[in-house]
Amino acid sequence: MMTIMIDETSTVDESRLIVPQLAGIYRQVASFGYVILRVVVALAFLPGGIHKMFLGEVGPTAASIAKLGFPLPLAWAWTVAGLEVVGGIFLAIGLFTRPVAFAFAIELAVIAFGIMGPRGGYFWTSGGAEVALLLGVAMIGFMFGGGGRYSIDRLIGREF
Amino acid sequence: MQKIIPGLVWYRPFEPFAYAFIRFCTGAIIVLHGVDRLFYRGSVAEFGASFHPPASAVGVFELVGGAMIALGLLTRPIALLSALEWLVIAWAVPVKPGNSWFMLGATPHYPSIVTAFCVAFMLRGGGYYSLDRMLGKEF
Repeated sequence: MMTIMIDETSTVDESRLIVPQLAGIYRQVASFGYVILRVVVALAFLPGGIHKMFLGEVGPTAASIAKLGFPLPLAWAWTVAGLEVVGGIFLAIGLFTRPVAFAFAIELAVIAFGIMGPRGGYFWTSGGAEVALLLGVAMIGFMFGGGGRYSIDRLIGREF
Repeated sequence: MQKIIPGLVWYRPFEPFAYAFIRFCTGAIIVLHGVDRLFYRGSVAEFGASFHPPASAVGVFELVGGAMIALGLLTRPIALLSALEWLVIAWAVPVKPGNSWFMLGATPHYPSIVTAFCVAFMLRGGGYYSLDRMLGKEF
């Protein structure tokens, strides 16, 4: 039952709707809500990841990681690049959703509190932490929610 | 669904809360924008140079609408209005020279993500843990 609840669509109930005529549309679209969240968040990382991995952004990334005091900044920069490209694709298709979302949640916590917060405060208009926080809470949601109805995890019937 | 590592079943009970958690946090983030517009900076600069809606009206909508999305009250119509608001912002925010559209930060990237989140809430509605569900009537 629990796995059904994350993308429950059978619960659209005419008698509860103020405009009952909308029930048919709601039934058709409701199951896409969760997968839209997952795919949008995943694809948000791909351009940055491709920049780091293929277009030479890995050096500047390593520099900003070094400023945070992490050891082996270049290794971390490549790890982040790999996570954003490979993990981004995995999250978009819903493969190994939970561990990938967990890794992203950690990355986003570092970005929010280590990089964007000190640089731009809170609000996104000044380049602040809000951006990483919203993506981060979504990742925590995916950690607990898993892939949902439209995911490779569900297709192969096995998940973390 | 089968667990690859059986010991990880402990988070099963949290699974139904995932959607409500994302909805709540997104609503809370919108509320903070309303608070900022009403009581602190009062700026509507991100709407662009040509369009100046009154900061107080936008602020009240964000404060009240954000809280309603967070709590799941009239989720679908409020999410639709919020999606429109953030779409206007995504449209109006300029990409500064040297930056890319996709950079995290003060680019149209972020308002586009919030727009997509609001569209998802609009399609899905309040879900299992929402005032819509508790009150028994919803749009």
